[in-house]
Amino acid sequence: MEKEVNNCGLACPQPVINTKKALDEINSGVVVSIVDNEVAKENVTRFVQNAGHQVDVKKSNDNYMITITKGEGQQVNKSKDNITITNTTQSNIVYLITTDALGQGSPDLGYTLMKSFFTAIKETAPAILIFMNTGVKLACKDYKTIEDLMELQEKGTEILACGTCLDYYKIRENLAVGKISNMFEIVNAMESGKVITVP
Amino acid sequence: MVDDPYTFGQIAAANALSDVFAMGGKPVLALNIVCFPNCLDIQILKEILHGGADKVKEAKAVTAGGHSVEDDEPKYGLAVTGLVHPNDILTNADAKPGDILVLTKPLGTGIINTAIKGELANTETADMAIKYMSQLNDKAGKTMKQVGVNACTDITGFGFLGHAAEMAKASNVSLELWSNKCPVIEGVIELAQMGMIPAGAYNNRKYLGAGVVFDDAVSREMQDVMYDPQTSGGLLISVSPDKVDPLMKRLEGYQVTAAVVGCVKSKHEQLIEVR
Repeated sequence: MEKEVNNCGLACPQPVINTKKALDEINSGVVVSIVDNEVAKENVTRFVQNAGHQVDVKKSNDNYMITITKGEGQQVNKSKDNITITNTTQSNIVYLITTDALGQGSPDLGYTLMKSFFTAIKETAPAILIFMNTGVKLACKDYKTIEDLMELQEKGTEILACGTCLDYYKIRENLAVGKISNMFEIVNAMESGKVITVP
Repeated sequence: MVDDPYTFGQIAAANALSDVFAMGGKPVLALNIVCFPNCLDIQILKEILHGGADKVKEAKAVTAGGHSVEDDEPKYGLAVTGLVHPNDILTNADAKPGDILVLTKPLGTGIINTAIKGELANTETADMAIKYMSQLNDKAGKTMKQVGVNACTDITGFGFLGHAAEMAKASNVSLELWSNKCPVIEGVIELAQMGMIPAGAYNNRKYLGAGVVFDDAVSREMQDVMYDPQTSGGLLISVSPDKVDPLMKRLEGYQVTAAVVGCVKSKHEQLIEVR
């Protein structure tokens, strides 16, 4: 079932907010967001792409029809411009990794365990890996975990690193794999699958 | 933009006073310009004017009355007069090849204001924007006079790139800007990813067109931040290389957020090159 959101005559950021609301109300399905100016088209498209939904923009008369597919209806691997689906694995598992050392106790042991953890999940390739707090360091250069993470990314695992955390530890420039994310996107990612926290 | 009338008044005044500081002057006199609907609580206007008057006082100038008009929507601004010796006037027209560019105040207030309207900005980010918007450019102005700089402009509605381009045109030079050195309010990049880009940023991008060239490494979001219209933004200062250290040290001493963000080159094809 399609849901239509008419944003004609509305100034930014209202079209984005209305589209977000409509998408929040459904688990999966299609939302058509209609906007009447370039700025709203850009902003809505940007928002939707970053949220990981499929998007298609058509111009009709003076308006833009932005068709957004959320969840199951997404056609995976359909190569078309301005469609971004980063997660293309079969898994629905989302790992939330909040530390750079697995478990409490000796940090050295923790690092070793974390490294073998990534090697172990490479086979199944989870849908999403979320790195938060000191966990973000694992996706930064000079960490031994990078290679496994790159392989996972190639297999279709989406890798999100918390931007606030990277800034806090002043290592934003060092991020070597995955994309910088925000709490809003991270919450969406966690709600999209089965979350397993790695403390 | 902000709900609190006192803060709104402060920001409007800081914005109005900024031009005088950017030109190396000292504000002397401020006149209020007020539009206000008669259906709104007059207490609100009192708060706005109070905020404005306090900022003018902080700038060591005098509020000497003003003019009010009845209107559908509240509006507030100030006409500011300042003093500067003719030999000391700073403009945006004297940036010299070899100069280093220094930017005060972090960027991103336009994006944050858009997110505040959409109720998507968190409190910390919104508070940071308010802190910087209501901050006077007086200390940066004073520092420029102490150290001696070549050119200056304040960053407002045309964004960092817009005002930088004006400086480049007026000085007949080209600028190289280093995006990874530009100070940005925390959380702004994330808001840009969510599409919280004000229309003004798109207009600035369109207006500058091919005059600005970005290196591939500059993310779309960082580009947006550099085009983002600023409310009561900081100063872009062009200073000879030997004076950068004393300038930065003094700014730090005054606790003014500042960063070296680029350099001035002799004029070539592109007005601005962003790396």
